[in-house]
Amino acid sequence: MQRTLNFTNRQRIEQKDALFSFADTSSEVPEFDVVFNLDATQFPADSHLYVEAHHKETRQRFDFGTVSKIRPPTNRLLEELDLSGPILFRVIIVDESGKHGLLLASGENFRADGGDADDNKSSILTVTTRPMGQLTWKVDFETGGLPELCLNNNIPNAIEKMRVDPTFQALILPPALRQVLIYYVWSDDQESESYQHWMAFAMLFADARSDGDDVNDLLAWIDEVVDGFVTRFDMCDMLVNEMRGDAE
Amino acid sequence: MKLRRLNEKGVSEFTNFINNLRAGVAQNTPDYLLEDDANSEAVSLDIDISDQPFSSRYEMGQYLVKLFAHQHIQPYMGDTGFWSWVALLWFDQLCPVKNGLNKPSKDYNYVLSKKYTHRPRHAIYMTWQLVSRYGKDAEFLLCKEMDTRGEITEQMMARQANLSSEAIMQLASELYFDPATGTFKRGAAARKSAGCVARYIAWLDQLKVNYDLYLMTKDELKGLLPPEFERFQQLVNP
Repeated sequence: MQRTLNFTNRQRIEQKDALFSFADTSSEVPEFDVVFNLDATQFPADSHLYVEAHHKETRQRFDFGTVSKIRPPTNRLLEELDLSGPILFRVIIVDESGKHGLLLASGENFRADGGDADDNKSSILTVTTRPMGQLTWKVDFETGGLPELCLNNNIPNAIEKMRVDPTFQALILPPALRQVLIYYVWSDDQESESYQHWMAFAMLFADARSDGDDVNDLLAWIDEVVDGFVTRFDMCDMLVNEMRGDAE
Repeated sequence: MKLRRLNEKGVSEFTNFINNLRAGVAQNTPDYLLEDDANSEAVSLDIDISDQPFSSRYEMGQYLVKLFAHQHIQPYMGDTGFWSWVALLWFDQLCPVKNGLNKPSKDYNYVLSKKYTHRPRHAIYMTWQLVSRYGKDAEFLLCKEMDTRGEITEQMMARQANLSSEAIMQLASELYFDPATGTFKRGAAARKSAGCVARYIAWLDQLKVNYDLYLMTKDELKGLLPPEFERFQQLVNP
């Protein structure tokens, strides 16, 4: 069994201690905000606080001052990162009083909440905005966790529209659900927590999937789930009513 | 020629071409994809790129860094079509030849993959990233011929965070590159012997648990090197 020895009493920073969000702007380069809730008394007052944003091998570091005097840098634009996928954040507290910077605490793989922490944090499909050229939306599976529904950040108030606009919901959610189910049904990681979450969600609308791997059976099961989903939420009626309302 | 990007169809055609070659089906390089509107499209950058020979991937990286200087490259950083277009342009240089036949490596060496494990293998994207960030200190990773994938590069890139530390890259360059021969020192690419690149990476993994390597200078990092690396701290081949 692999064990990690912690001789230097490094502390763990949890996601709740550093809540990240992106400003919902149409700017080509996203800018992040972070609200810290760290117990400063746990660390020397002059310990330095850093945030690293990263996607794949691209990484950008931001100096937030010290734990006793947190000073967000003026420029928090993610200008050096590849923005084609989800951005994750790392938070570290470093004691720089010695010869080498000693890590006192760290937290890894934090995600921004898309400006909507309460709605997103328990969701199995996080909604984010990104620069996406002419693509209006897509489901991103390369997130290191649950899939994300990504909307083009040139769409004004895209996240808010996804939450309240019946046209957005009716036209995007059913095909997005179908993509996610196809991904998981043919995933080779059916032990994962995310697979279990999505199968539990699917069973709100249909019976459990069969154990077989017949393509037609599996596609029929996915159809059944999507059909149950759109029926439960009256998706087509919702869309028609919205369009009639617009026309009046 | 104006730099463009392959569209979805072009990427698929290029991938099929590579996989056919790997399967032993002889084919001409589909250069027509580069300018065919059905398979590729213009980009928002105005860049003239030339189909010129390079003596090493490092030289190619230097060319790309100059080419992309002052260009807003960020929107294309993860763009499969963009980097794959460049790989197609220079494919005949990048592709190893065995017994007179093109024998390409796996497709993700030429078609930029979305998978984080495969992406660092892309011949063009990763070369540009390394030279752009580290200049001369990246030469030890890219000193071989154009058609040679670097064993050392792939070992170093397997830890993505290593790329963000100048000290890690500068010290690796000092340890493993022999400027006299223009290539890396003998034994550097070994998997298990004392002081080899694989051992360097394993040592860094341990160090990262306790130290913020991003803040360290090359000399500070060097001061922590265990004795097993002494044989590589010489200027000539050990």
